[in-house]
Amino acid sequence: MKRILGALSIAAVMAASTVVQAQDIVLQALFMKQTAYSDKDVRDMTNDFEAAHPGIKVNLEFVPYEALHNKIVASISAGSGGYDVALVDTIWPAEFATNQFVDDLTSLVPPRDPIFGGAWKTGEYDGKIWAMPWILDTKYLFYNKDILAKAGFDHPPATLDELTQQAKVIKDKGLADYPIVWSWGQAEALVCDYALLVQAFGGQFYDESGEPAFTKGGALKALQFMVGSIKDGISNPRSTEFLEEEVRNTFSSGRAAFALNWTYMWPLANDPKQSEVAGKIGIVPAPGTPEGSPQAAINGSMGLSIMRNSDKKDAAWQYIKYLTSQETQDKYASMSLPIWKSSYADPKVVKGQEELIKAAETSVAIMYNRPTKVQYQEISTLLQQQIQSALLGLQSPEQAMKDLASQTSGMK
Amino acid sequence: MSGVTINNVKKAYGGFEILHGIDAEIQDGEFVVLVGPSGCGKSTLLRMIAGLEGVTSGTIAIGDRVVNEVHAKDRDIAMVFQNYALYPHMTVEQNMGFSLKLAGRKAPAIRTSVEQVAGFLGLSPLLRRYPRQLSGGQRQRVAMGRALVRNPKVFLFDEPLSNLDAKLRVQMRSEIKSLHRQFPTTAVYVTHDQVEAMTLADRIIVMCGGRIEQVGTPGELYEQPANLFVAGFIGSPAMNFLPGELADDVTSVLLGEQRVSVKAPGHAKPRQRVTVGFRPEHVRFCDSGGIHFKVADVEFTGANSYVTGHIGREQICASIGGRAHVKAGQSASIAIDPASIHLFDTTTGKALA
Amino acid sequence: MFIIVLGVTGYPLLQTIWLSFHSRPLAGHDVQADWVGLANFKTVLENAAFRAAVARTLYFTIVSVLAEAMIGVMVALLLDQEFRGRAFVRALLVLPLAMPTVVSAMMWRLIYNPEYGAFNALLLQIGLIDDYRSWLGAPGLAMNMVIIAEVWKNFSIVAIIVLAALQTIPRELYEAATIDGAGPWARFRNVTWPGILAPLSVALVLRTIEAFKVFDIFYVMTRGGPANTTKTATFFVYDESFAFLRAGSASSYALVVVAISMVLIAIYVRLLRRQDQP
Repeated sequence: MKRILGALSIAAVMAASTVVQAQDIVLQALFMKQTAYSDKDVRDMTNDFEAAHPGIKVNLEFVPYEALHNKIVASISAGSGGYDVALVDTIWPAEFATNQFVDDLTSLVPPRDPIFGGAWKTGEYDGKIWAMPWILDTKYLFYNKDILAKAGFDHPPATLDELTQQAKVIKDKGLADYPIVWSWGQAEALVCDYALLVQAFGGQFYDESGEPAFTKGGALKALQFMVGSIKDGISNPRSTEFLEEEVRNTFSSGRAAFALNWTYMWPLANDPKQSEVAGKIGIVPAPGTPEGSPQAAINGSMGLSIMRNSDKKDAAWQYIKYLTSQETQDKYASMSLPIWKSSYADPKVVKGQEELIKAAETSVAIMYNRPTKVQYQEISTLLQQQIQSALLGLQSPEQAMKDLASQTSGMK
Repeated sequence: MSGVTINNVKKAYGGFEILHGIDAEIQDGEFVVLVGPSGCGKSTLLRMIAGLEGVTSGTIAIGDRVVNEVHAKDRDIAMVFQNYALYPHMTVEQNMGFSLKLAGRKAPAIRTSVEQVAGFLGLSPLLRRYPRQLSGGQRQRVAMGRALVRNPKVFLFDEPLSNLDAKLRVQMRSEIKSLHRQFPTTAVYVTHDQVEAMTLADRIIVMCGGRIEQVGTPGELYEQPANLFVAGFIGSPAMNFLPGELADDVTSVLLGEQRVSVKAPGHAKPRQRVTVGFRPEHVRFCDSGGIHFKVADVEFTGANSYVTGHIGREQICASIGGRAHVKAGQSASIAIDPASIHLFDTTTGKALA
Repeated sequence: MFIIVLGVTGYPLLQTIWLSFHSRPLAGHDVQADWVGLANFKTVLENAAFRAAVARTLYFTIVSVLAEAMIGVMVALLLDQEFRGRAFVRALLVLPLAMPTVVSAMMWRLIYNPEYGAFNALLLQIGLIDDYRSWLGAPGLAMNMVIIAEVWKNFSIVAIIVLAALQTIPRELYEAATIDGAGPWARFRNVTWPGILAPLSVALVLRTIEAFKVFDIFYVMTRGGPANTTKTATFFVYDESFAFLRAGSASSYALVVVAISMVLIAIYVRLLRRQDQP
């Protein structure tokens, strides 16, 4: 009996070990469900990757953008067994690199030249690359051609003044109750819209010596513009609770003449199944001001990082390399434009989205970066609150920015 | 104080009639017990008097006032419930004084009334306690005290003793009786226990299947049951019944092969099928010439012996003072006093009288 | 058993207390804890935004729990009556409870949506407003709108507990009270209320503790906005740890929140004891 048991247990051990040997490498990867590539796109890409790389499987997890940062942090603080690959926003590499959450990819990434400089900025901190750029994204001005035509305009606004003026006419003619819609809810999306306007007004968050500059100049003007546009009724006052998806809904239902949003709204607002304005919309770089920047664009790009505590780094890099390859990106170019310069000359990529590509050529080149700070999360949290308090009339823009300066003084 | 007059009262739930026209007259100060098997409608009738159930048709009057449309709280009645229904968060004192408080009486007056009744019921040391701190008997007494404090026109009791153990029940029974003697208020008391009914009542109303079977004093019901139901229900052990046939001269009845002389009323017909009823205590053992009786079992209870056995195929019971001199399995001969035999029409169940 | 309970609840608590006296990053390469004494608690207590958040959370807790108690008791009384379809309506009560908070929060966000939400449509139709408006984007209003969602989510736990308690009250008590001369209000006051008080109190204590720890409903519906007017105390624990990576002061925030909860519980226990006295 004993001998049988012994034989059985040896067999069991052998069986177990063969299973282990045959077992695939399983990567845990974290993505977001919102803007850029859809869940389905990522799943399809991953299926193709698994087909091309036998022995590697990828478990995908999707969370809203607002939960992405804290999900990554929580998984790292929990120790081992976290993610191998995670989607990382352009504002995080400073924090993640300093705290050594992610690996330095400098030696792995492909040559810099074929990829847009703005894309590289996404994962760069301290001269090193911490995230391989993947989603090349910025905000554009979307406009409803029908409404503009009815209001008597044959071109979209080229400056913020013109935007204001066109919006006023549209409102006065009753073509839209609130012509412009923004994502000004208390979230990072608000900071993106604000940063874009800071660029438009020629302002900056911090000056060359690192001192706060948001209490004056273009940064203050940007906030004053936001507050003024709500007061004048040309911006939708409900914007203060909107994120990108609500902006898309409002614009797609034809209730707004203008909207500021990421690339992903272009295919979706043009999809008759999801939009009442399909085929009637235009896209241009966000307008600026003559004294600041003639156009404005916020760097909303995101990259893929390898987590420091991953123990499958080779496979992880293969996966990242596959997702960021020009071939994969060209295939899914309608949801998110490729990081590869030459793709924009490829008729397959350009076809059907000429208008978007034309706007992207200008915008991608001028993408403005939010401040690169280790404590960016904290600064942004306070910034969101102060901007909102000004937007909601709880205090003046000047006071809000002054408060912000004192709250953030000393933050790295 | 006033009586209760029930006039052709019917009760139906959704077209299903459960009381089929009840008439009863309860005199001022009388203690009347409603008795019957469960489901006979006695509790429903009591609750209709209380005003807890509506009257489908007919009238109920307390004193001279028809109370069909009078709210329970305005009927000037008090009720003692089976489960005492004491307010668990109130002390004994608060429980007893609650109705007076609701009636707007002043605290000192309430206190006086409560203390008086409590003293009378021996509840004075318990006034500050909560119901959960009392024994079953004490709770029952509080429930009664709560009713007494109101000094109502009519007391209603809904099986108030059925949750007590046998000993306590006997004790409370006599307490209720002496209470009523001292406060002769009209009382309507519902029970399924015929012993309780016999011991307590001035008059008993026997109910069955939503009808009144008989109304009378305990003696009347025992001695002159109006029908088979009452005859079987009142008395313990129950009356024996044997099928029989009147002889041609209607002065005797044929029980099997035995002829037993009886006093049949004048309207009895020769050869009429009858049910012969006699109480166990009226059975007498005799040496010979009696009815043939096969003893099945003997139970000795001390004061009495109950002898069960068969006459032909019918089982009967005999109650003998002291020890019985027969044994199980033995054949004996019994005699029944003709004066104590009850005759019932087998088809209608009514007494031949 | 005791050791298991102690280990499961005690160890994390001790860890949290230890952390609260240290400065330590949440995670990363060099997780070193430096003793800082009471500095973390000083930061917490001197943080005006946190104090405002505590006041806001207390407001949320008191208003929502009171509303849940009132609506819960009223619904329980209604459902204690005999009526057609009662079983169905009772079953419906479980619906909000069965729904995960995140799902119900999403649902309410849709209902309150300023552009196409049902709430706007309803109010417009009955003429209470003449234009769609922002509910969760308006300071002052947003908190109360979340309270409505919270009350909807949780009143039924009160209703279910009270309903169960109502069914344990003997019918005879009501009848005795009726005969004693009690009208509907006196019956409620003297029979119903004492009968449901104890279970209701337990439900309210549990609800209060839950409500003070509130996080997910706000996280989904408002993310603390607009302009922080719905940022509750637990947001500070969350932000401090997972967004700002400061495990030490996050622990201090957590302990202060726990301490306030304990004060709330103590107040309740005292009130309950007083209720129990005659």
